[in-house]
Amino acid sequence: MIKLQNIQKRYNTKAGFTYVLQQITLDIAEGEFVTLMGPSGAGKTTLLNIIGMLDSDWEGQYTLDDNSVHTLKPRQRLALNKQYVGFVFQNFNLLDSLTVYENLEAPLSYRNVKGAERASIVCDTLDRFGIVGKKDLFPSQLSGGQQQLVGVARAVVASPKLILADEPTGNLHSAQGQEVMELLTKLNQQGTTIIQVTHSEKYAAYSRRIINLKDGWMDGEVTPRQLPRKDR
Amino acid sequence: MLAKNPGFSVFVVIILTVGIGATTVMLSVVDAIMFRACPYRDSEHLVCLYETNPYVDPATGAPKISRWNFTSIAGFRDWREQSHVFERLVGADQWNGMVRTIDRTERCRGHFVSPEFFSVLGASPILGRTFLPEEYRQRGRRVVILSHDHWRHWFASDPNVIGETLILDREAYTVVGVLPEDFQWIFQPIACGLWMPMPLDTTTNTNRNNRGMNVIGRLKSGVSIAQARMEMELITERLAQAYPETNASRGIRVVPIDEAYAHYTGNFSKPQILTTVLAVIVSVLLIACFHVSSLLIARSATREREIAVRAALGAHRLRLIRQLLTESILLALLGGLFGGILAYWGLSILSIVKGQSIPWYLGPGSERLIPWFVNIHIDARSFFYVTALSLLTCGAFGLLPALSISKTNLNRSLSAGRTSGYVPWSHSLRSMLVVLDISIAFVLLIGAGLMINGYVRILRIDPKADTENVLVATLELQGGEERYSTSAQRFEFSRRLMERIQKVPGVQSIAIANGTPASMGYNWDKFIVEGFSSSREGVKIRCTPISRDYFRLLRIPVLRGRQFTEHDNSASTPVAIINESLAKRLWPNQNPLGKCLTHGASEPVTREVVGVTRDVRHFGDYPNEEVYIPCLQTNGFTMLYPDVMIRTDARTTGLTVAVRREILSVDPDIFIRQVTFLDRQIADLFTTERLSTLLLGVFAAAALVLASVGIYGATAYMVSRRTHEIGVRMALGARSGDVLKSVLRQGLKLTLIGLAIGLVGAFVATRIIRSLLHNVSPTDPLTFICVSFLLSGVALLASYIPARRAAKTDPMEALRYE
Repeated sequence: MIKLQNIQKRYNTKAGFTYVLQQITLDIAEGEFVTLMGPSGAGKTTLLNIIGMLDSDWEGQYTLDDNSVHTLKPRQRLALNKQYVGFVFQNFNLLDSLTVYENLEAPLSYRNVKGAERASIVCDTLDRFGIVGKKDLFPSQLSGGQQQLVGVARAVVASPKLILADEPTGNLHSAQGQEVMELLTKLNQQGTTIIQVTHSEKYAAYSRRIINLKDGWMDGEVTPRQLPRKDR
Repeated sequence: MLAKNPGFSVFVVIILTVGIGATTVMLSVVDAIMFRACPYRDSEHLVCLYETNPYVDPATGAPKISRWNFTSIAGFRDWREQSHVFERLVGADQWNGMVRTIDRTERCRGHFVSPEFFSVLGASPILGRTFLPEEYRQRGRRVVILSHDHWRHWFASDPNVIGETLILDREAYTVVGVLPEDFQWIFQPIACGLWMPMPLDTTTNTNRNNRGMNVIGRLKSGVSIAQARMEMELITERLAQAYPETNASRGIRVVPIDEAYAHYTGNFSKPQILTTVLAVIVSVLLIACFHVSSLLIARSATREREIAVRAALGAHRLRLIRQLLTESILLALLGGLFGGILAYWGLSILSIVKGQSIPWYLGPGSERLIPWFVNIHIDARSFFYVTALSLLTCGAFGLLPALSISKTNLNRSLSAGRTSGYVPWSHSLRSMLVVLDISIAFVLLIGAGLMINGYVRILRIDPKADTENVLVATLELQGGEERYSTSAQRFEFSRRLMERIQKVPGVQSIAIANGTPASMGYNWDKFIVEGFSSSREGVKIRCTPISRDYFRLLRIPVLRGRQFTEHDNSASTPVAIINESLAKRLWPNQNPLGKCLTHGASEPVTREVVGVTRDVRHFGDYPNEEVYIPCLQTNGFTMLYPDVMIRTDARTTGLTVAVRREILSVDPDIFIRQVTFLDRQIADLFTTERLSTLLLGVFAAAALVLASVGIYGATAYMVSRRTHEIGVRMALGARSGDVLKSVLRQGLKLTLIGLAIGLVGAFVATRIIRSLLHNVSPTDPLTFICVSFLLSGVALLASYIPARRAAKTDPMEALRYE
């Protein structure tokens, strides 16, 4: 599904070029659950944004299914983003001025889904995530776990083939984190490809492949079984 | 903290300086003109005495009473002798003449004053003395007292001026005193330069029709104005019986001098313009305050986290309030300080143009914005109020972050994710201020729009005469009683003058008249018209004496009959030419040629109508009906003040000088009131409208700019605060167009609410300027529609720039705010 070849991202600074990502070559098949790990500044989020087509300023070749992303114009990339990708953020990034219902409705409205259909999809999603009772609340009226639940629900509401989760458990306590990870696993089992960024080996263990990044370079790939036992 | 953010501090101080300075200037001027008491000693015991006189309004035909008439010297003598309610009764009679000093000759206005005049008004000379009793006698010594300004002007403030000689209308007068600077005779539109004693003996000044005496009385202790009125009414009745020809219809008014002062200051200034300007400036100040508030709110929102951190570190709330209050008050005080300096400068400039036509660069119109005698200085109360308003604004909005601390959760404020996000109270307040900005700007723009609309309509008025390239010299023949005492002398002067001017290169033709199409409404005469039903008492019609080339020069077509010729003189049959409107009114469906009109109270003259001309548009609210009579068939009295009209090839600058030179070559002592082009004279009639349009236009433009800056600022601020949110939306699939629409929608929403409020305000406010509008309804739909579109357009443009920036948001950059 995702084929990255020699992906490179750099910034032009006074001191010369600063590389954020270098020579990233990676294949991810449809239905996989992949974790990007690495220390701060390793380039995890940057890589996630490139895959999610939020970042268009990079070099290399990126193929998403049969689409050569590197040849597409920014507008076409955004269209592809809408078709394929759902985002889950560490800080939830719910829209403060909208209710839970409206937050879920937003991605559908940007995809020109008609009103009646939109309502039906949002209600289904609310039901699926067990948050029907919260639909009229504002984000500030929810706990962190509930907010991330809404964040994940919002990411899947438009039925994306790919979910990109940037430290989805970063702001949650352990029980909440586990709940979110189980949710993502469930979505993966239903066929959604998931790529997550995390620092936690415990949550990385939910995925099937773990790709380590260091200083912008790929620093090997492991399976959850190869992780130290204490974190599993 | 202010020094760390100099841009913000300077911007706020500049807004406050301009706001405080301009408002203080206008409040001070309005206070000086409209609210200050009369400048004479014990003015509460002083009253002015005016005769009343019934008359028929020529415009409407309605009976009216003129209420501010002076009396005759003989009448004043009677009042003095017969009244008992006044401690003293004094008066002043105007004198206009030529004054010759050692090095110059010029025209001056002075007054003959009765005994005790200066002591009643509380004036003591700073040099010399007032008049001695013997100087009030006929054939007494000729003496004069100078005003302070004219002492400075004629004698360069020479302290040895007492005993010097001035030549007044060819007679030598000795200077015996100089009045203090603050003594002003407020009952004249221009400053009075000198004072002479008035002989009051009964053998002179017996003409009771010659009414030029302005009378002031000091009430006896314990006498009320009502008592004074009662006694004066009795005296007036007695005089009416004694002198029925001159006094039968006259009444009397006893007016407190403060009321008279207010009347004259109102007459010699333009209170309506001043109050309009004040209202406009206050509106702009309000917008400025909104902007300052808006800036403080924006700053408050960004400082919420800083304040939260300080609070978390243990800062007491009172201490935080004190810090914020100190910063805000410092800003307001700096604004007040610089605003005070600005007001001082502004008032100094206004003092220079006191008594002059303003604005002078718009033409020599006769409109004076500020009376010459008003002493303008910074009004402490106004300055205090305006500065207090600024202090309040800065204090209230500067305190917001400290006050909001009590309402918000410290954790929330300290949370990194939240601080860069949405701050609802700040957003709502700023939106509200923008709405108010727009609504005030809308009201001002509607006012300016209506004024401009009206002014454009004035400019489009066709005078129905060719006024282009017609130079008009308005003259006063000096010493009319001597050199121009007979018609023959005056006609001879006119003949010689026309002969000389005709030789000036560029002059095509000349005509002389008493009145031009720019004359508002004088030369009314009563005509008895044969067969006209309401003519028993005579019909008042504008009557203009003209020379034979008048119609040719102004290219006014004669529709029937003929023009005047050189044969229409004192020896021939009296004739008249009437205009179309008058012909229709007097003789509808008849041929007016050969019909007769009779006029002249003492020596009635019957004139035969020999021609009918097209109507000429006169300005002012008077009927357009008009009778023209040949100059040579008048007694020549009106020709003491001729308007010499000269059609020229082009408007060359040297022409005016050449015409002046030729006039003075005929009589070097002649007083040339003005030499100006006729179309300019007409334009000058609308100085008030032009001035109001200009002022309102400038301020409305300023308000428009401020409002658009406000909308831009609010939208840009909103976009900056929503960068993260926009990033999230884009990550969720929003396109640039969605973001653009969303931001524009926000700007449009504020604009529409502002327009709705402004619409209500405009309906109320435009009624106030109704009298300044010409031929435009205060609810003129075209103006309302145009202004709505203009403001909406500007508001949308102001929103578009930040909206476009928002649409270009890089979602990755935006999300990095996390």
